[in-house]
Formats: sequence, structure tokens, C-alpha cells
Amino acid sequence: MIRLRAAAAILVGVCAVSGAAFAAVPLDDDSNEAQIMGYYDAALAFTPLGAPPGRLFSAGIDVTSVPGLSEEERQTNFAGSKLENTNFTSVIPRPRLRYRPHPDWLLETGFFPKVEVFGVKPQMLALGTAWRFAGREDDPSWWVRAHYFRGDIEGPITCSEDAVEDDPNQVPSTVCAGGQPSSDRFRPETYGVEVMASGAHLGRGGPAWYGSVGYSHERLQFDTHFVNYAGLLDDQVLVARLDRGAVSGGVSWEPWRGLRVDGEIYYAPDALATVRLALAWGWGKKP
Amino acid sequence: MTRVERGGARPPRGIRRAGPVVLLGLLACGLAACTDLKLNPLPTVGSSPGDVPVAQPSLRTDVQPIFTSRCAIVGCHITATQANYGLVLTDATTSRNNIVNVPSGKYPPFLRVVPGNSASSVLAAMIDDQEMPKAGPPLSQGTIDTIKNWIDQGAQDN
Repeated sequence: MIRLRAAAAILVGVCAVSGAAFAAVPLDDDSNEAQIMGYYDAALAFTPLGAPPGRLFSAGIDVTSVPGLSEEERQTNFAGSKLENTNFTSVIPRPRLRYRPHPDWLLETGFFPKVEVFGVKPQMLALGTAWRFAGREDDPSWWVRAHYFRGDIEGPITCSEDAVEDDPNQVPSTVCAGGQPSSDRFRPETYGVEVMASGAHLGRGGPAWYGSVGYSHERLQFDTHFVNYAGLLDDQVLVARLDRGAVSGGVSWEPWRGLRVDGEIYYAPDALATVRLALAWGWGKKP
Repeated sequence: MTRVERGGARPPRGIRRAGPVVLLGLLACGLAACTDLKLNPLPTVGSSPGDVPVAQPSLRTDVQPIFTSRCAIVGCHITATQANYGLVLTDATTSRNNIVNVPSGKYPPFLRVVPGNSASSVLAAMIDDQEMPKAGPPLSQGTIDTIKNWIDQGAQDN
């Protein structure tokens, strides 16, 4: 009997979750809303950003350049009558840890805690693992890499503090006028796989190069939370699923014992071309 | 006497300099990072000054296409929220059920659409005053008159 009740409870839970999912508005792949979300997800992608390190551990910070969107690009989305508030920052920082327990294996993680930066509260987790299937150390070698990323970024995206200060009696008014700054959540989730070629160091102490070609599946969700001038809540949930190819390549350089600098060029078609830089400190000899 | 480096020969100077040069190059590229977004223009259906009013409009053929392209868009009347007073305009049947003889959420107790009387309909007043649609340019007079004609002819399910 207890088992039956448990099964029923699980069933009710599953139905509740399914019901919640049906409440979301599915977006077409080519809709502006989906494309904008995909743009930021591509900027947040957990790319290799460096050749596999020659140390057992390394800890550092990545920085990604994020080109701001023009007024025209921000106006053609989410109802269009106003500017979406998306240009919070021109760089995205992310701490990254690397662990190379075996010459043919590399484990990576990136994490950003839920603290307010640049006017938003991001919380991000990224995981990656790479396996060398051909080649040797200090020779060109081939890796296959899988990565996962999940983020929850909260901020006044739908209606900024500036937008709600518009006069609601102005004709035509925007939907934000007279309301409260929104508290929206952008929740991207990405699964990706890529093939990476890693080159030898250009002489002892010189930089090592790498390049990768990858594919990712993105599940993008935007939870609107805006209270308008009349105190009424807009809580539409938008969901998009995108598939995307991307290429990246760069160099890793160890100018001083343990200190490592990485640079990467990344291009995701229909999203952005950008550069990532990383500074890391490594220690321990790899097995 | 030749100086011997511990651990092997040093690479040529050009290669030693390659690391910072390449990284500086990447940094320069970063400054030129750019978007590759391909976005669609906002819908402008029903906003052309040359729009001619339809004398005997049909809900499905003439009115709903205006609702679909200008009102039932993301962030507006695509799902029911408090903010849009539950008004969904995604298809002809849903639209009619939500507007004909239904009290306005914003201006109660007036009705959104009073069949046969556009002058007493909140919908007609809101598009006349450019209060709606909020997305994109205001509706043209021809388009507004098409909607009013449909209301004045009984707001039928046709």
C-alpha cells in the first residue's frame, strides 16, 4: 500500500512537472527571442580555452569578450516596443579548475556563485572532460571532449529601471512604463561534444596550439517576471531548443613556471565571433 | 665556450616571442569581437498608410491575421497573464471568445467588443488611441476601420 502511495505521489509529481512544461511558450528556432538567447548561451559556452595542460592541477580565471547588442538588435525582440536590457557587461569572467589524472584524460569545471555582478545575479556551472584517442604528448594529438553548461542568470532584462520610469500616460507608452523593474531569469543549458587537435609546443618554452570543431544542443528558457503599472504580473515562460556548430582555436603559453596564459578565438555561426583569455596557475606533475 | 641550458636547447628567439605576440593578437581580435545575429524585422502588418479598409470583413480572413501578426506575439497576447488580463488572441475562436461581450480587464465594466457598436467597444477605442498595439508602429486608419467594420456588422464568427 505504501508503495502504491509512493507511486501515486511520483505520478502526481510527474504530471505537475509536465503541466508546468506545457505552460511554457515554445519558440521557433529562427525567432528573434530564441536567437538572442542563443547568442548569450554561445558567449557562455564552456570551450577548451587552452591546450591540455602539462600539470596535474591548474586553477585560473577565464574572461570572454561579449559584444554589446545594438539598439536595433535589442528592439526587435520580446514584443519590440521597447529596448531589452541585455548589455550588462562586455566581459564574462568564470573561474576554471583543471585536473589531469592521466596523460590521456582531462577533467575541467567552471563555477560562478550567485552573487550580484554587473547588475545581474548569475549562477553558472560548467563541466568538461577530454580523452586523447590519438597522438602523444609533445606531438600533435587528437582529443574528443564533452562539455555541459547550466546557468541561471537573474536580472531586470524585460524592463530596466530606466524603462519603468517612462510616463505610462504617454501615447504610445511602453509596456514597462510605471511598473517595477523586472526580475527575469535566463536559464540556459547546453550539452556539447567536440573534436580537438592539440599541437606540440613550438620549441621548449614556446606556445602550444590547439583547435576544435564542435556541436552543441542548447535548451534555453526565459522566465519573465514583470509587474506592470497596475500591479499585474507578466510571467510568461519562453523555451527554445537550438542546435549549433562552432569552431575555436588558440594558444597556451607558460611564460613562467606554473603560470599559464591562454587565448582563444571562438566562432559560433548566427551568434558571435569572440575572444577568450585565461590566466591560470598550475602545480603538480601530470602522471 | 658554449653556454648549455639545463633541460635542453632554447628555441629560436622568434618562437620564444611567438607566445606573447599571438596572445596580443588575440586580444586585438577581442576588441573587434562582433555579433553574427540574424534577426527578423518587427512585423508591420496593418500599418501601411495605403491600407484600404475592408467593407465587409471576415473574422478569419481579415481580422484575425491582424491579431496574429500584431497582437499574438511573444510578450503580448500569446498566453494568459495577469498583465494582459488573460487576453489571448492566437486564433479566431480564442480571440472571439475572449473579446465579444467580455468585460475589459483594464476598463471595467465596459466590454471589449460590443457586437454592432464599435463606438462602445474598448478594443476599438484602444487601437484608435494608439494604446494598442504596443509592439511596432501604430495600426493604419484603414486597418482600424476594418476591425471597426467587423464589430459594427455584429462581430460575427465568420
